[in-house]
Amino acid sequence: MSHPLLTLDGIHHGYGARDVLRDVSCEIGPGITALIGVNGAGKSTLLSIASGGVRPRQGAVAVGGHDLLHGRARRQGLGKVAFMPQDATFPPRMTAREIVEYVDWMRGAPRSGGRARALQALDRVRLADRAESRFGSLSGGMQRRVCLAQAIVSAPEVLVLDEPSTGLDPEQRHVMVQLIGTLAGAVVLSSHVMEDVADLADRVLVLDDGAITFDGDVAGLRALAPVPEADRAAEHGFLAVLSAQRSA
Amino acid sequence: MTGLVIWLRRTTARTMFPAMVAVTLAVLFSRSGWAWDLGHAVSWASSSTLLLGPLSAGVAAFDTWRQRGRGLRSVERSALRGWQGTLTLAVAVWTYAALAWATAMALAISISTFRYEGSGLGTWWPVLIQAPAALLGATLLGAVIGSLVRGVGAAPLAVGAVYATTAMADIVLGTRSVLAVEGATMSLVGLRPRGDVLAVTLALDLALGAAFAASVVRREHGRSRKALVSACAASLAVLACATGLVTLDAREGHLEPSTAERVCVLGDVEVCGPPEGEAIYRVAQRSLAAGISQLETAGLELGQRTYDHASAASSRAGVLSVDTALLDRDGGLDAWDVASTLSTPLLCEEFFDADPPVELLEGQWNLASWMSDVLSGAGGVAADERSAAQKTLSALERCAPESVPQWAYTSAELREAE
Repeated sequence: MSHPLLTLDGIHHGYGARDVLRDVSCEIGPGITALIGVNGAGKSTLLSIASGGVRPRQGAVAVGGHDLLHGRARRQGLGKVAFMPQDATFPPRMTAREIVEYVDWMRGAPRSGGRARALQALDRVRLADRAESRFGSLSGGMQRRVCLAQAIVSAPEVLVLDEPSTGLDPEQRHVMVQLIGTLAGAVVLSSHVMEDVADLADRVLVLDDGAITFDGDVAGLRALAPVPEADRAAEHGFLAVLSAQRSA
Repeated sequence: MTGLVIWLRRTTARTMFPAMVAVTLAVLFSRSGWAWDLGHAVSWASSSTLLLGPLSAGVAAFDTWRQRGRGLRSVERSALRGWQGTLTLAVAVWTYAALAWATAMALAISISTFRYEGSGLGTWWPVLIQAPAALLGATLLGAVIGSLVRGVGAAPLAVGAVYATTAMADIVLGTRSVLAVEGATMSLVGLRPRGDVLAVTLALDLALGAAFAASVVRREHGRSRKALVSACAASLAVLACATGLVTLDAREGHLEPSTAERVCVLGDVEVCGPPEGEAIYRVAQRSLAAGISQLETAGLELGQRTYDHASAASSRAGVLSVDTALLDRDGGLDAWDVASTLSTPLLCEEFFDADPPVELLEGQWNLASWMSDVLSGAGGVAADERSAAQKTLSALERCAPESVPQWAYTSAELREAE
């Protein structure tokens, strides 16, 4: 594997007495890495930790070699990572351009050129013509693309996308998948849509019950399916991973 | 700065701004008489913070809930300046509240300075800092409520929380100027704020603001050690300031007598007092001179020609009575104020006795009533009444209760009422 851009080492986390993540470790390099798992497996928590939004109870996170949890290195690390949340609730009164510009500012981007960078990001997600539309007036698919634009505006080395295509109609989903396919650097995305994972992912991680139970590529996942050549073999491979884990 | 500019454009406070200005102007013009001294004008114009602070807190709470959904908050948590997000929004709301306050304040200062020639801001300038600090504290409290209560109920709760804090400070610390500024409803000539109380109150507002800001950051952006340390430090500062106010005995009042050297408006009649009342003395001097002339035409001889403002009264001069609200209406002293002033030709020591001589008090009342009738042309022309008035005045000029004649004058107003 090429030089890791994102390193997770011995991550433990939970809510109250409930453990959500148990000793999760992995290194992620350039390309698209899909994180899949059933609801409640801990995907969103892991992605929040990977993007520096949540501090784990135990373990280390580094982006581009910078410790994301402590001191001055955190500042440098945060400048290299961006997060697209699953819940695209942004200020309804702000325009698409303002949201992207605002997040660009929050990520510590220089003051000058913020507007141009925001417009460029919106252009990349094919929303240049809706840049001055209020967020609340956009369709669900467009809102999700604004959400993607705010994540890519600062040209991060690591992009963390939490279920970017979930809930979109087929056309919008297709657009979203196309857009994600054009992204550079390390992209970590979670998804329930195995078709998207099969189309996009260079690498697949299966998270089950707070631990990584599969780490390979789509072909490796397909190979676990009872009939590897069949349609939806990746999905069957995923189910086989879960089944093997639970029977163990 | 980018964040602030965007929030300034998108906060609900921008829509509410005309209402905020309307509130401050309504408060300002709900009373008259404040324009005659700049200290009073500044104090009264700041009292709109009692309404503006809760309003600003309500808007901040509403925006913190409505504008900052889960998506934005989760992005903020993983952003370098994410912790500034809520605070920037609160600062944007505060900017509009402070601008509304400043609009009324600028108007009050302009009217006082240019129309009424009010002077002597003197020791009152700290109020110009205190009011924005109080508004900031109230707005940040609103942001705290908005981050705790995710719903439209956050706004009324924030309004209530600000009022509750102010009321609690009044009960516990003896000051109504926490998260608000208590404005003076009467003239402040001869008075100045207690510097120590004002400074500690200002520090308390700032400490509360810092504590609220740290709470919001801690609540919205995870349990960072820096936020915890800031919240603890700010809370300690709040405690220290509160203790300071109790130690300073703020309950005994936040005003003290001014020590500024007196000024006099000279002429046939001389009116003196603390410098901040000079505009009042000029108007009073003209009214008293006209009153004296009118009373002398009616046959009364007045020996006293020097009158001091009540706050600087001495045993060598008469005591100026003035209701500045009536000055606005009449453009000069009200007839009753002229009569009250001229019927108090000396500040007799006996007035301060535990049991002041009734003869002097009744005599002064009779004389003032008679003078008022003469000045307004409502009566007092009978020769026996004039004679009794002259004898009463002479007794009052000598502070001699035994010389006050037996005389019961019924004013025209009372006669009419009967």
